[in-house]
Amino acid sequence: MTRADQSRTIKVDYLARVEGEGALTIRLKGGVVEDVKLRIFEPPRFFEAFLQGRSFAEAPDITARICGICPVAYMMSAAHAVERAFGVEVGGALRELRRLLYCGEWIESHVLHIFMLHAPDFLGYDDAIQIARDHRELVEAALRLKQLGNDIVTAVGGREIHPVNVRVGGFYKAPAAADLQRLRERLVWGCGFARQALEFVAGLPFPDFEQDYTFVSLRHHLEYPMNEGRLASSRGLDCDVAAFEEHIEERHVAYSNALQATLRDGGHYMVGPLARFNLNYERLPAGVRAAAAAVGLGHGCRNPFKSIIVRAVEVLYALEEALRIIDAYQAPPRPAVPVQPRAGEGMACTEAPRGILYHHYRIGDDGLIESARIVPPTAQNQRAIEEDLRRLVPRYLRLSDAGLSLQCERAIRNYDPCISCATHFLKTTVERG
Amino acid sequence: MPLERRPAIAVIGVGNALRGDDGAGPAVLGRLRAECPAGVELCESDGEVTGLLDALSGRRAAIVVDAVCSGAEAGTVHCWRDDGPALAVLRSSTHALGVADALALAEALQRRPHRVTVVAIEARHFAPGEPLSPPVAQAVDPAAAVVRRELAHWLQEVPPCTSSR
Repeated sequence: MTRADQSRTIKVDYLARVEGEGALTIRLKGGVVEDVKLRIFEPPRFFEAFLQGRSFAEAPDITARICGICPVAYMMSAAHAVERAFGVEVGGALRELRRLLYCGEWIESHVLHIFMLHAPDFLGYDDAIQIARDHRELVEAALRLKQLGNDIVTAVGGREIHPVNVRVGGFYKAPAAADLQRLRERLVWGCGFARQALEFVAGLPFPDFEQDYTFVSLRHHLEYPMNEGRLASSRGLDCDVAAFEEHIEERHVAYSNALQATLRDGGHYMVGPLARFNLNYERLPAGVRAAAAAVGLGHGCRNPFKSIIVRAVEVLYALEEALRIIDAYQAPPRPAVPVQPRAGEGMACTEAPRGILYHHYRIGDDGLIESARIVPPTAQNQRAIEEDLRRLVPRYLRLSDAGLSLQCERAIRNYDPCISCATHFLKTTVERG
Repeated sequence: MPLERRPAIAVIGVGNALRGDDGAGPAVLGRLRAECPAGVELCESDGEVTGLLDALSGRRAAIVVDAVCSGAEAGTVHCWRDDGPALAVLRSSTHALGVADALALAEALQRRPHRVTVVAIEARHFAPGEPLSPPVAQAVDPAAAVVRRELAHWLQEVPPCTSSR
């Protein structure tokens, strides 16, 4: 054990159970955290440059390749941004189909994170395999639920990873009502299991770590946000998403290949399930709010470790929402609204599982993309993660470097970071000097 | 198909035919299609863990055919029975769950076939849109022959269509 008054450096070379390659360096001196650096060394991926000179119609499929976990988010943000540039509105059944597709992605991404990546931290396991041994029925059901999310994405998007059916204006082919109804029985089962899962995760042991975050998410006047809404914060921001860059700036820091986003007037902020939940609590159906309340989760949760409970709430919501959409669905007369390219700019945010994903395109009158800007959720959460670590590390100074690293990795996984997206992580280094 | 009526043996070709040498698994499966013995199901997998787990479930034996990077010469055909070094080599990511995790999860969930053989082709190039590189393309027939020998051996021990799991 290292004494707290000594200086030390703790390095985690490769962060596990996160998406992509990153590392963490913490420098301590005399029991005080001198520096925390979340270093994203996944190489830059240059997607914004790839898009220049490509047709507007390619933006959803090209950007979907940024991530294999949340391709739907990229497709949706791209489609909405281009549609805003062209003055196109997608409503009715096509809008509902997009929401259903997003429900599928939230379910598969959240269930994977809850059971395979995050829960092991709370149970003292190294990985999900150990949970499967000790909680076999739970993991079997979780895998069935993840598969259901995949199958929703397949039913609407044509393929479970990197769907092929999304286009600017809607879809290439609208699914038949009967094809969606085939999912119904499993969705009803899923709603029941999601309530059990919610009870399970709410019963995990949580550290007392309430923080005064600035939450940022979409906020919609009628619904829990996925595809549409205004950009809102817990400190009064309320604007059209077109004003994103007026309020949020990205900065390059030398130690990371991902740009770091901050609010121009308020520093770091958090996006993702906790932000969505707190800014849109009233938009959840009463039954979902009641299920959250029954396990002790109410509006205003500020403990990032409890994001696992919020993810379980969002899984329940996504399942109920998918059922609602499928029961009301009638195939639209055409799979997409007509799109007429014109010179212009379009910006859109949609709610990826990990938080708001911003796309901005400038398009020429020939329909070719002149410039593109993409701000993924993990880039926005980097500073919030570093701030959490600054506050958390002093509590664990008595631990060995390995023990301290483990606690840091846990705190990082609260954000379900997607480093592959952010470079467009993890090795931990703790320097005790 | 209900698990109890599944063929007792699965050959699972893992990979993406559009990513250069990652297409080794699907290519071997292609060679086997013309003469697949009764009692054997050929399954394609993109490596996604729930799909792989499903392909493994309800079998008495399974052969997983995949591309690997273990440091051997490109085109080398590996045959690993049961655990061997396969799990370590197949663990290729700090985040995504793949073949090794699917096998470990199947074990933990009591869904792992009694016998598992991994036939792997040492791969080198994974560029999108590229075909198999020459050494890997040349290894497809020898790898298919290894799979056939393994199947012939098993089929003597495991009568077809008598899955009892």
